[in-house]
Amino acid sequence: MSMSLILRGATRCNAVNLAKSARLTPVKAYSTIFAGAQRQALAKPLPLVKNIAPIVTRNISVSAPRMASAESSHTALWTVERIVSAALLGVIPAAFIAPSQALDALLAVSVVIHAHWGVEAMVVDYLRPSVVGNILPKVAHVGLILISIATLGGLFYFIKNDVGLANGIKRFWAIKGKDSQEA
Amino acid sequence: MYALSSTLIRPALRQGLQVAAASRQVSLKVVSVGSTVKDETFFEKNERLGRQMSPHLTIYKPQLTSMLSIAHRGTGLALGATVWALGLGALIASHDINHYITMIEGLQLSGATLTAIKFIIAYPAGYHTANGIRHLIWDTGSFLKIKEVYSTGYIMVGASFVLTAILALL
Repeated sequence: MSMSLILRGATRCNAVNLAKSARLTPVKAYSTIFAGAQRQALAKPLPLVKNIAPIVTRNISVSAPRMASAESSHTALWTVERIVSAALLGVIPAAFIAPSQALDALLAVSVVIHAHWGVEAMVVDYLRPSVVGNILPKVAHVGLILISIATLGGLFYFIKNDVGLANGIKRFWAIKGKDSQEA
Repeated sequence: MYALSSTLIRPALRQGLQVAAASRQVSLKVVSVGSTVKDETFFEKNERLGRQMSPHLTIYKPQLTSMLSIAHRGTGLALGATVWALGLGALIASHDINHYITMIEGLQLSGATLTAIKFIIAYPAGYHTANGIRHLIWDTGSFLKIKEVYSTGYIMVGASFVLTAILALL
């Protein structure tokens, strides 16, 4: 019956008119941004709705989750990490092409801090308190700092008192097989 | 009559609602803040209810994306361990590096064996460097579409072997 009304074009084909003509119960009315204006807008032809309905903005306070972390912003450190990674692409070849104590020291610092950040990310990702308890993550973090400091110290000692970082690796790489070793 | 009207009304109603929805204005239900704040986190709640965790690593299909990513982490860890060994070794070793190099030369390995060993040692560096460049390219915002992720992934794996070969032959 309502379908025949639509076919005759007596009413416009929209949801409100369909609901009215089929005698369906109206949908529950929520409080809306467009107080009152919306019902009128629905009754009018749909293309004109945007012109009629005023746009009202209302600030909605969304409470921050109570468990939100209070840490500071990570963005600056992220940028520094990328800069060090990109710098390594230049420092490593330079240290091997032109070995010197200064470039060795720069290489040692860059590699140790890059490795520190990488392993720190693994510690944060895998040693989660919900999985391993509360003590182990903290112990791992402190242990990682100690290892990194010790590694850097050892590398500086090596650079100062031995052949140097790049030269040492070059000598290791230059180990000849028994075919080419002199008797 | 009822059956006819229900088969005719519902599609018309749905179409009408779809047309209405296309230009629908968003309505918001205003509630008090207190009713939305919870006392425990998602994880605390599931722990309290004693729920098991769903399977994840055991059921997820391995893909190029995830495999290359974990390989980047694995090679990074291997390289880091090498740096630690070098640094900590320098602190605790009783001899200088020439002593240990002489020891390895004493093993009298063949040239081919040495090149093979050097390839295996250098591969983590080649892979991590090549994938590291891929990561830095992503950080500029480029090549992030999934097709591009896959194509750069294959290119990167090829490049890692080339780079490692160059390093092993140095």
